[in-house]
Amino acid sequence: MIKNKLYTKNAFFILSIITLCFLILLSFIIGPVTISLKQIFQILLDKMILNSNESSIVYNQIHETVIFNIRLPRIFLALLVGMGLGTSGAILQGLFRNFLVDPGFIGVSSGAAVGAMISIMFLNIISYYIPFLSIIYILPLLAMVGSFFATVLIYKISKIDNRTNIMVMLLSGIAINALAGSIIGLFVSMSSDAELRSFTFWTLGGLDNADWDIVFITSIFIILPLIAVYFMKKQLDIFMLGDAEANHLGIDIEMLKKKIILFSSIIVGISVSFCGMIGFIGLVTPHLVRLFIGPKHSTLLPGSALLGAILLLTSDLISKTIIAPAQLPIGVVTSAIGAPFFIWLIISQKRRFSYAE
Amino acid sequence: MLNKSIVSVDSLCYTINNKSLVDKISFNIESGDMVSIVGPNGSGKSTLVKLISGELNPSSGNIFINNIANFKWNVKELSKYRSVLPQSNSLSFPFSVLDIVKMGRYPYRGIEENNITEKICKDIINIFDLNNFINQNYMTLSGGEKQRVQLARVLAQIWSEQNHEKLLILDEPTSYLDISHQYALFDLLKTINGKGLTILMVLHDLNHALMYSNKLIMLKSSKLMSYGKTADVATKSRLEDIFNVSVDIIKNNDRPFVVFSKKGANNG
Repeated sequence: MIKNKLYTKNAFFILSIITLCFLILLSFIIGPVTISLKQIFQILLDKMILNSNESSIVYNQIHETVIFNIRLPRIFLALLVGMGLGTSGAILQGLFRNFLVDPGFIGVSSGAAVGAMISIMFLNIISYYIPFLSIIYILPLLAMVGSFFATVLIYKISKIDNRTNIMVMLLSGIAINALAGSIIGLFVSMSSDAELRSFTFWTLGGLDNADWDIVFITSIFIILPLIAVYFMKKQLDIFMLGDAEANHLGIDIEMLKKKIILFSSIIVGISVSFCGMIGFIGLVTPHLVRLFIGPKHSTLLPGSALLGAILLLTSDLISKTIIAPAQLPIGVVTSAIGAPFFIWLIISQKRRFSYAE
Repeated sequence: MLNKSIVSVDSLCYTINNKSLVDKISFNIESGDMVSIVGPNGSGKSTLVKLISGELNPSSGNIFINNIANFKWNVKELSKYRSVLPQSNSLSFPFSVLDIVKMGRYPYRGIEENNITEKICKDIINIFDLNNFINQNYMTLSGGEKQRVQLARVLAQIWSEQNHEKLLILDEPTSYLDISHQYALFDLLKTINGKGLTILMVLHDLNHALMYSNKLIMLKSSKLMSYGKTADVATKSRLEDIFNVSVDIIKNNDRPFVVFSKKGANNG
């Protein structure tokens, strides 16, 4: 039995990595400019290893720009945000001890959106008081603050006797989403033409904004929390037993909760600020991983990161191709995949809800 | 080692919304005792246990475990000599039985070698008659099986050769257990208690408390009615007063056995 389990886990990770490599390759190839595999490898080889700037005979300058400045950063951003959303979904579901949690529908993403909105609206004032920060930092920072407050609020509201109530949690999520929507609406009607443009551009979301600066910042704010979260794997397992039980086993649960809220806000904040609201990845990913390889965080966390990246990259590929040459916003694709999954989840768990906790 | 105080409760009060749930309770539990807390519903049993296990903070008064006062408790240190089974558990993630029992050894991570942890956990799983479920999903178990898994986890936490400073707190350990597992549990508790482990438990069944504990804490209306050796405090008049029923005590092999009847039934 134990051997069997190990076998499943290994199979899961190996298959996931192969799938991911395949998707990365596809993401390089697919796009409005046709570039062959040979050209892609030549460009990457020249740029990254040989460090030469001369165009060779196999490809021209356009190919190089497309691969190196458009497709490669986009792939990186998709990987980072996918890993981040998958993992933050897993730890938020842990925090609430509830697998119906997604940063999107408990208001964490819209909290981040309000933060991002404020930074666009009040950029002049903010940069007057803190001139050393450029917009590329202010936007994610305020988005993180926004998602932090939303998470704390939801958690405080939905906690009853050391547990969170599904009903209360989802209801307060609706409330926070509505509130955030009205604040965003207010800002939109108050904004100037220029602000409105950067607004709209940003609300549409997606990975189109990807450039090396964004990839750089995102990688810091996603990889560091991911590492930090991985070190909490044992504590997260025990936390699933219950607040009191974890406390009796010597875990500082208040500290652990603060860490979960902090790290997930950082991850969701940075994702929302550069890619807009991408729903359902955080819900679907950890759930599938648990289904395949069990709930232990030592495998759930890396598994969710991997599967999150796979799902986001797949969604991005679909968004690029399904109505080509036009592009579907990525949030539309993730919802189209995630919503039916969510419905299935509700139907299959219906009985458990009726045993009101 | 004998007669060393392991739990010492000093004029403990817990008040919420001006309602007193634990009212000026003081007692001493000595190392090696097996103590039951008994009393009717709402007498403050669970609150008292939650205070002693650190889930609630007292409104006033102090609790000492191994001479360390509650305001100085460090959850990490405490977890190495004090283990608690709460009244209900709410785990809703599909961990395996072995995973959960192993969580009990979390306080010893890095101190204890993995194969020793594994051995201890498997021994305990064996003791609780859970061998057939070792890799099974916890959520698919029955209520009694779940309770045995939680008991195994709690016991794993304080499993050691040196029991004299260790304390096991159990809130209603027999819930969901069938008769044979109830008696198996008490036999096991008695055995480890014989090796020096101090046990404090809330029991619903007064006869279990009489049979298996050497001391009784009797609560009524948030107050301590009496505390002492089981044989001394479990008198007819006291039990009648506390539980508000008529009581007959039958001696069975020198052990008291209580039969209840509705108050007033004897008179009529």
